[in-house]
Amino acid sequence: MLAVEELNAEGGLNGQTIKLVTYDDQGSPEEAVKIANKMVEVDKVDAVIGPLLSTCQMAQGALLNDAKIPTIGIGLSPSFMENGWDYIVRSSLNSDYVMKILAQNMVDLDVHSLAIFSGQDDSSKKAAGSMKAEAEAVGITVTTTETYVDGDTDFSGQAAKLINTKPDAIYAASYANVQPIIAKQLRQFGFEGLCFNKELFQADSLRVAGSAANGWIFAYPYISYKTVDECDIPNMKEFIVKYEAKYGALPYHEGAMRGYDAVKVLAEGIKNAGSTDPEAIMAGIKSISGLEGLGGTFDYTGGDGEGLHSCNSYVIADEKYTVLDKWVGDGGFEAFKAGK
Amino acid sequence: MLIQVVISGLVIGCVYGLIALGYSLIYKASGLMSFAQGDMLTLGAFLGYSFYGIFKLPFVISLVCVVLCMFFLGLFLEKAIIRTLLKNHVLPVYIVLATIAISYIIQNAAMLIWGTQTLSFPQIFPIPLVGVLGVKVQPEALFCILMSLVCMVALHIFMKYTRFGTAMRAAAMDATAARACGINVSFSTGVTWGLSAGVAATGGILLGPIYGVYTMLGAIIGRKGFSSAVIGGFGNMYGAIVGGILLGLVETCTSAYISSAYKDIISYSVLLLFLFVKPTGLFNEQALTD
Repeated sequence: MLAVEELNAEGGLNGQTIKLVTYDDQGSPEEAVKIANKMVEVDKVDAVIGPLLSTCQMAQGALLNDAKIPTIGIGLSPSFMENGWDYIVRSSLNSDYVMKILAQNMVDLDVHSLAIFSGQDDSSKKAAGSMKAEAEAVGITVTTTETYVDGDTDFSGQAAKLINTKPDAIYAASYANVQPIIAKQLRQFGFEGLCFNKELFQADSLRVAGSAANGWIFAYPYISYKTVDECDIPNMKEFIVKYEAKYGALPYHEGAMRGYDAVKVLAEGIKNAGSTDPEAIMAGIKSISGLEGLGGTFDYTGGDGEGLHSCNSYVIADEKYTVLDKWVGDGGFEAFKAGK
Repeated sequence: MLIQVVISGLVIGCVYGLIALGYSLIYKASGLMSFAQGDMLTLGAFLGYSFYGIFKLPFVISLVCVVLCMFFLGLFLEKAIIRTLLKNHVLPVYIVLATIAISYIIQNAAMLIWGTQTLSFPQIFPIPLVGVLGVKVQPEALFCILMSLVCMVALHIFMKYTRFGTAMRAAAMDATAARACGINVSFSTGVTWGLSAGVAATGGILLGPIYGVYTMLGAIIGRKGFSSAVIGGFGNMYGAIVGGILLGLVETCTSAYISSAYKDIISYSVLLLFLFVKPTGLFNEQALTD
């Protein structure tokens, strides 16, 4: 909404004011399909952004693609882009790319063996499989893969088994609601090594996990900051200040940033197209190169529909987000090893 | 590794047991079943977060406030919904369906009031971890075990040795005969639902510091609590806790020594096994119609 208001304040797109229609799919694929139908048949939208979850994107993707509605996906799973839909691109980071970055981080941090802990949902299982493949490709031994069922709160059996395989590090493919519980239980069971996370370790998860989150590493384009001062990326800082002024609080979930970037990508595509013709918009998006967003530099010229191709890695140290390279350079990693 | 697994199994088992106590209490005292116990736990955790984390009341006061709030909520639900349905002479299955509806209403209301993010519940004790047999455990987890045992004994004594408890059991066995003896059946059933909500909420406020507070906190725990009640003997207070502990140990041992992928298959197979082989549970609790 913030991005749309900004664009309208600047005169809209190609001289036309943007009309925003929003829906809540409640994380339900079934609901996502109903909404897609309504957007196509009733609202007759020119373009769609979202939904947030890849499973919902998978459910409604074919419908939007058949209706030739340019769609900017903001889910993370590789799955929905594997369908080769002509009218759907992604503005968030494909989680497969994250695994390559994390695997390289592991090599740099002397990790030789890795245990994997994953949810049983599609996105988590895919991420765990990708991580295993990437880790093994760089010579890291995967000692075991354990799973949990969505909704579980006790992971003590899994924690014991993971730690018993004596890995140098543990990789968790999990969602925000269980991140703090996993972090706490691993530390309580005596694991003092580095832990890697499939995606952003959310700010509210960090508050619940407390010191148990120290030593967790993730690669992700966006951070859900606890305070404005924590942010040292200029355009991101500008965004969260504007967000706080409008909504009275900082974004607690990075979905706000994903949405903001998606609107900017779509707007650039429409500007390039000079019209709302679906094929022209898609051509306009696919010609984007060097567009600076909150998550990094967008480039769609590769032709695979993926706009972001890399991102920073972060580590949680002293219960705060720190850029991984800076942490290592400042001696944080040596201090972490010494404190084990 | 064995000690770690056993202690963890005890902790989560006692939580299942607390929920199972609620199921057993309602069944024992009214012959009915409620599937909103897991959500009562969630609501208790959110209220505890509000009293302890936001209003900064001392923990004991917060606990009492939560239990009282939930007691009156349980009483209200019984009077406003369950009693109304019973007066309409509906089949027991409709009562079960009503409790499922209550469960969804609580989940949605909690989401609207407290939001969808995980909330950080402040620690109850100043020490983050304590050592037990060489294993580090959150003191809240040990407190949870203690409170489960206290609730179990207190409810058993209440139901078996107090006049009101006896009246509640009599009301469940034969409402007409109980009324003839001067027992206020409606009031005793209401109190039962209130007590069950209070016990579940106690579980919630104890789990908050361990897991954080979020809307689906009690969803799976509620189902596991039901299984625990069946395994222990539906309606038996000791059976509820022992069933919970057994289920907790089976789960953690399966994850640790077999595979986490089979955890729920094995846990729920144990439930089926009891239903086929020993439906009266470990404590040989007879169903009310027997």
